[in-house]
Amino acid sequence: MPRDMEIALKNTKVAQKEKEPRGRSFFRPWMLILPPAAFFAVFFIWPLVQILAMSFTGPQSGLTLASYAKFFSSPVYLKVIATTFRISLVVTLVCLVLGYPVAYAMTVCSKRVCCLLTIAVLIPFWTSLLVRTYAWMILLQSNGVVNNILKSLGLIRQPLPLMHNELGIYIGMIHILLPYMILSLYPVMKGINRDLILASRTLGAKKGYTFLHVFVPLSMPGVSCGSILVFVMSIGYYITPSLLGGTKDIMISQAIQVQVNKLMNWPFASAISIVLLAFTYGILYLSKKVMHVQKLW
Amino acid sequence: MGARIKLQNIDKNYKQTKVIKNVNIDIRDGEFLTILGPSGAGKTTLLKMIAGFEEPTKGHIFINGNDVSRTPIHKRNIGMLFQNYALFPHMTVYKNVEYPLSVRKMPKEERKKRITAILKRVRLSEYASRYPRELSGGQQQRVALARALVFDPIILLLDEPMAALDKQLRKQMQLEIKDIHREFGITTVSVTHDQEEALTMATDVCIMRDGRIEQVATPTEIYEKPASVFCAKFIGEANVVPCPVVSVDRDGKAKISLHGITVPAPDQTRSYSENDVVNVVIRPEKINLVDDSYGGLKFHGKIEQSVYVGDALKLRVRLGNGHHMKVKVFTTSSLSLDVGDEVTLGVPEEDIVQVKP
Repeated sequence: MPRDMEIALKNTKVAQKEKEPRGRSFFRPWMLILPPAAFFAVFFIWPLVQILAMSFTGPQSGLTLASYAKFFSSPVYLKVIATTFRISLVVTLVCLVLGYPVAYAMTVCSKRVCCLLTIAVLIPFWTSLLVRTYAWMILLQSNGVVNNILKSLGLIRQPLPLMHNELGIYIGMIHILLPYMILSLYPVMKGINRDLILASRTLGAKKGYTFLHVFVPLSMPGVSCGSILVFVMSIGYYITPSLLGGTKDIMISQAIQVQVNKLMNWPFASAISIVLLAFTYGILYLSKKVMHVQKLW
Repeated sequence: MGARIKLQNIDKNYKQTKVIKNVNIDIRDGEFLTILGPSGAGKTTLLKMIAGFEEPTKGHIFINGNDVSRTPIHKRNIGMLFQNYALFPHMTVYKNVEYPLSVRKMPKEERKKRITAILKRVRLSEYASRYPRELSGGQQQRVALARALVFDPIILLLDEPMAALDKQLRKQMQLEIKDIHREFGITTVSVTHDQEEALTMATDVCIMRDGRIEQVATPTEIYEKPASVFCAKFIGEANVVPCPVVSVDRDGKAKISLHGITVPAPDQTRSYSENDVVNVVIRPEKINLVDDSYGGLKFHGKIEQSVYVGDALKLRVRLGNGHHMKVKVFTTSSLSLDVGDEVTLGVPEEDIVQVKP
């Protein structure tokens, strides 16, 4: 009798086990990512693979490293890389210097002021990049708004060269990328426990000392996050430097465009693209290591 | 080493709301004052004003006779323990404790000497190179305490210091802070809503209600002679009985009716009129179970509820007139009481305390 019961019990257990998954067994949570993954595979990864493949082709059939050799041996393209890095670095630093006080103000000001500041940051952020770049062209050209005002005030006689040079690139890119910096800094700053500031004050530190020794170190995750974001976006910039910049010092995306549109050299353009991609990932990889250290606190 | 603190006619308004209403307190050198009250009573605001985070709207704060009402925080030389410790997460335990000394530009050797000593005192010497997040709540609390004391402040402020600890640890920390207070002799002001904590640590307790002070006294005095019904109910358990005055004799001495039994009004220093109702407080553990031969004040009743709490039984006894009395009797092996049992409660007359409403 007990033996029979045991078997019966076992059978019901087995039945229960089978019952659970039946009917729903096909579905798994990870399947939710299938549609976007498919989309990316077809429209992003596959073209990228093609570009990668193309970068190894040449006039003759068969694979070659000729394009890469040309890129890294030519002083012209090394200069393009140097220019790209210089511009990106300056843009990042200026964004940080301009953005840090704004983000700080947003954390300490009253709700009203903070709200106004947020709107002021977000409106340009939501405006099309192209629209903003053209707006800067109208402002900065030789007979543009800025030069005309300065002339009518009698401050200058000849128009200042505000665009078609690196200055133009800086003005345009900093304006466009500044919100990214501010929006990266703000949540980190907002998350700093106000009691830490008060604690520092009770321990005898003045406001300035507290800011430098407590607030700034604790805002570093935001600084690195914003800087990486702005820098990585900068090195791939195309529209703003090509519209506001000159023809002398071009950035890497412009070099790609020249190869595609003017010289029809697709393999070489592909090679430059892959170099740009590699640099971008290299920076992200390095920054991940830096960020890892900062995650500790 | 410590300091006298005097709060004089302090008012504090936030926009239209009056948070503190005419508060006056004198805190002696070396005293441990705990400000106790329900949330919203203004106790934390008071602490913030002593620390310098807030300025009083009206009135003055004196430390050792100097008006510090408008002195900036960093010049007050006050150590503060925050509710969530407020340890700097980007610094090691050592660096945290060193912070107030670095600010004061103290020579390196002197710093090291002090930090070593204070870390040893809070039993955290081996943790000097750890980061706060690597420590338990109690350890973080002790680091915060070390940091708040290492620079020889004249006052120590504690803002709900135990709120984030579990009960076991809380009791341990209370005793630890009590010891440290005695050892350093530092004037300490603490804020809490935990009455047990107040009674454990404080030399003096200040009970606040709606921005006003209800009573400032030693824990014993507050417990034995609460100033008001609010204080009586806030500290410990209490039977609060409203008693109508039944007769007033020629010298103004009154008799009141306590659950139908006429007794002299406990407070004979004031005068009464016929229609007065006075409130008296009887602590549950002052009430004894007696037999009918008991000569003093006694009430008959029936046990309605009995709760066993280990060392004692908490009873709710329904009296003949329908009212309840809370009674706490200490358990002995021979004690046997059940719900429904008839009991006689004896109340010593000297344990009936008259309080303001």
